[in-house]
Amino acid sequence: MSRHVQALVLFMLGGALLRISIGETYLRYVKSALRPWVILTGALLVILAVYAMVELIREERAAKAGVALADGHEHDVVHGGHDDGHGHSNRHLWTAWLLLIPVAAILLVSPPALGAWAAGRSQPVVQQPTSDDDFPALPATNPVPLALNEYAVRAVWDDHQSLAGHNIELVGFVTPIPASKQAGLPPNSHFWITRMMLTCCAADAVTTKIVAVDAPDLPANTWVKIVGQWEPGGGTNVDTAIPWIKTQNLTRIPQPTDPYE
Amino acid sequence: MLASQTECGGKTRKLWRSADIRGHTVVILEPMTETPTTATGPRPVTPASVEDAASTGGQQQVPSRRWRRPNGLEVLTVGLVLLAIFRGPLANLFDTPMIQTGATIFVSIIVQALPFLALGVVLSAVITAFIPPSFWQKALPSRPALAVPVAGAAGAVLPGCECASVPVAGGLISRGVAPAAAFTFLLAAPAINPIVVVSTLVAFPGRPEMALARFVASLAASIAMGWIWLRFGKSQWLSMPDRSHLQGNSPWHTFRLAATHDFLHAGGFLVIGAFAAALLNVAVPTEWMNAVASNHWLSILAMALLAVALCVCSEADAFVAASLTQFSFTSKLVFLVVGPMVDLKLIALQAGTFGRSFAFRFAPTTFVVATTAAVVVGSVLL
Repeated sequence: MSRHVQALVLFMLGGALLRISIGETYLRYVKSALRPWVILTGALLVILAVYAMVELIREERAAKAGVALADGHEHDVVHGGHDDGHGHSNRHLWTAWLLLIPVAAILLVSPPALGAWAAGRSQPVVQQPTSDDDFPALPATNPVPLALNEYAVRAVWDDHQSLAGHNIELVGFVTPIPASKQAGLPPNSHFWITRMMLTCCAADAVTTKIVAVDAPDLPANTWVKIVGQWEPGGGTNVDTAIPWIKTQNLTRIPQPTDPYE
Repeated sequence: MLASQTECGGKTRKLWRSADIRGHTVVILEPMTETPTTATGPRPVTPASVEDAASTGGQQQVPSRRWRRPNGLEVLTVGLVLLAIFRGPLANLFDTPMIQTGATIFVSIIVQALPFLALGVVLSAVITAFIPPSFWQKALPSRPALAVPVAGAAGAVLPGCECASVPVAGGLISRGVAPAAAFTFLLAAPAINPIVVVSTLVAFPGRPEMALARFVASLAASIAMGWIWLRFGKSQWLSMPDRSHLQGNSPWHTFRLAATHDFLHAGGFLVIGAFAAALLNVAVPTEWMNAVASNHWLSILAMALLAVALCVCSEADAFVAASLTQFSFTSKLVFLVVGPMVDLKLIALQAGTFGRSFAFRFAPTTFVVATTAAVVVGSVLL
C-alpha cells in the first residue's frame, strides 16, 4: 500500500468516524459516553493523514527540484526518496485496504439501530437490582415516564409493587409476539414493547421486552409511546420474567434520537 | 505512479528480500549501471537508503512490461466511483433484517474498538519513540521467569480493553522486553484492570465472588501462559513486522510513523475479526444455546466458544454473561476469563502483530489454559 493510499484510507476512516459522531448517527452503534473518544480518534486519524499528505507533497516538490538540478539523472536518489515509503516494509499493509469496508458501511449503507429481528432472537433479562433497599416512590406526575428497563425491574423485583396505581408512560419499538410464545398471555397481546440496553456497543445489547396488553396489532419496528397501568403477570423474582402493561393509550412516534436505553 | 511499479513482479520482491537480509549489500545485487551509492554520494547507509535503492531498482524494470498493475490510488478511485454508481443496489442488499443486524453489529464493534485500538497504538508509539529500552531493563526483573508475574500484575493498571493491549505488547517486545513478559501483560491487562473489575461487580449484584474469581483466574492463566512460552515458545514463531523503517528523524517523527503504520496494520485485522463476530452473532441459532446450557461440561465448552465468537469488549462482557441466564455461574466465569484473552478479533490482531504461526499456536493454548483456570477457580470460589 503506497503512502498516498495510506493517507487517504486514514483520512476516510477518520472522516467517517467524525461524520457519525458529530451528528447523532453514532448512537445507533455505541453508547453516548464513547462519543468524545470516537471524535478524538477521528480527529487523530485525520491529523495523521493530513500530516502524511503534506509530507508527500513536500517530498514530491523536493524531488522535482532535485530532478531539475540533476539534469536528466532519472534515478537520482531524490526520486527514490520520494518513493521510500513504498518499499518492502509496507507490503504487509494490504490488510489496511479492509478498513475501507467499515468506511463504506458507515457512509453508504449506514446500518440502522438494532430492531425487532435482533430483539426477537434474544432472551430478555430483568436484572436483579444491586442493593436490597426499597425502590424509591415514583414521582407524582401523571403519567410517569419510565425507562422500559426500570419498569421491568420494578414489576419483577419490587415486593412493594410501587408501580401499582400509577399511569405509566413507556417508549419502545414493536416486536411481534410469535404464535409459539402466546401461551399464558392475556388475549389481545400482539407485541412486546421493546428497548435494547447497551453497555458499550450494539454487540453487547441486552433486551427488555414488555407485553403490551390490549394494544393494536402493529408492524415490527414501529416506535410507539404507551400510557397504561401495570398489569400483574409474567412472573416475579426471576430474571427471565416478561412483565405486562395494560395499554390505555397508544401513539406512534418517530424513533428517538437515542434508540437504546 | 512509482508505488505499484515497484511491486510489479516476484523478481523485484526477491530483490527486496535480499535487501532485507543483507542490508546495504543490495547495492551489489542491483542490476543497475548507476548504483545508488554513487547517487547518494557520501550519505550514510541507513535502512531508508536501502529502500531507496530497492525501489529505484524496481522502477528500472518497469519499461520492459507492457501491462502494469494498477496502483493503489487508481484502484481506490475506480472503487469509489463504482460504489457511488451502485449505491442503490448495495443498499437494497442490506434490506433483510438479518443482514442489517449483522451490519449494525459489525459497524458497532469497529466504532467501539477503534478508540481503544488508537489508545493502544498511541501508547505503543510512545513506547517506541520516547521510552528508551534501558527503562524496561530497570523496571522489570532481568530473569524472565520473574518478569512474567510482574508484567501480569502491571496489567492491572492499563485501563483499556483487549484491542489496546495487542499493539502495546508489540511495542514492548520491539523495545527489548522479554516476549514471555509482554504476552503475560497482553493477556492480563484487559481482564484484571479496575474498570473491568468494577463492571463485573455491577453486572453480578450480590455475587462479589464473581469479580474475585475472574481476577484470580485471569491473572493465573496469564502468568501460566507467560511461563509456558518461556518453556516451550520458539522465537522463530514470532514474525513481527520489520520496524526499522519506522525510525524517524526525531522522536515526534518516529511517533507519527509508528502510529500510522500500527493503526493501519492492526485496523485491517480488526475488520476481519469484527466481520467474523458479526456473522456468528446473527447466524448461530438461539435454540442451540438453550439445548447446551443444561449440560455442565457442554455449557462450559459452549460459553468458552461463545466468548471467542462474540468478541465482546472486556469492559462489557460481564453484562452479556449475566444476560445469558440459562447458563451456570462456572460457565459464565469461563466466558469472562476466555473472552478478553482469546476472541476472533484478538486472534486476527495477534496474527497481524506477531505473525500467523505465532497466533495459531498461542490462541488455542491460551483457550485451553484460560478455560482450565476458570473451571478450577470457579469450582473453588463459586
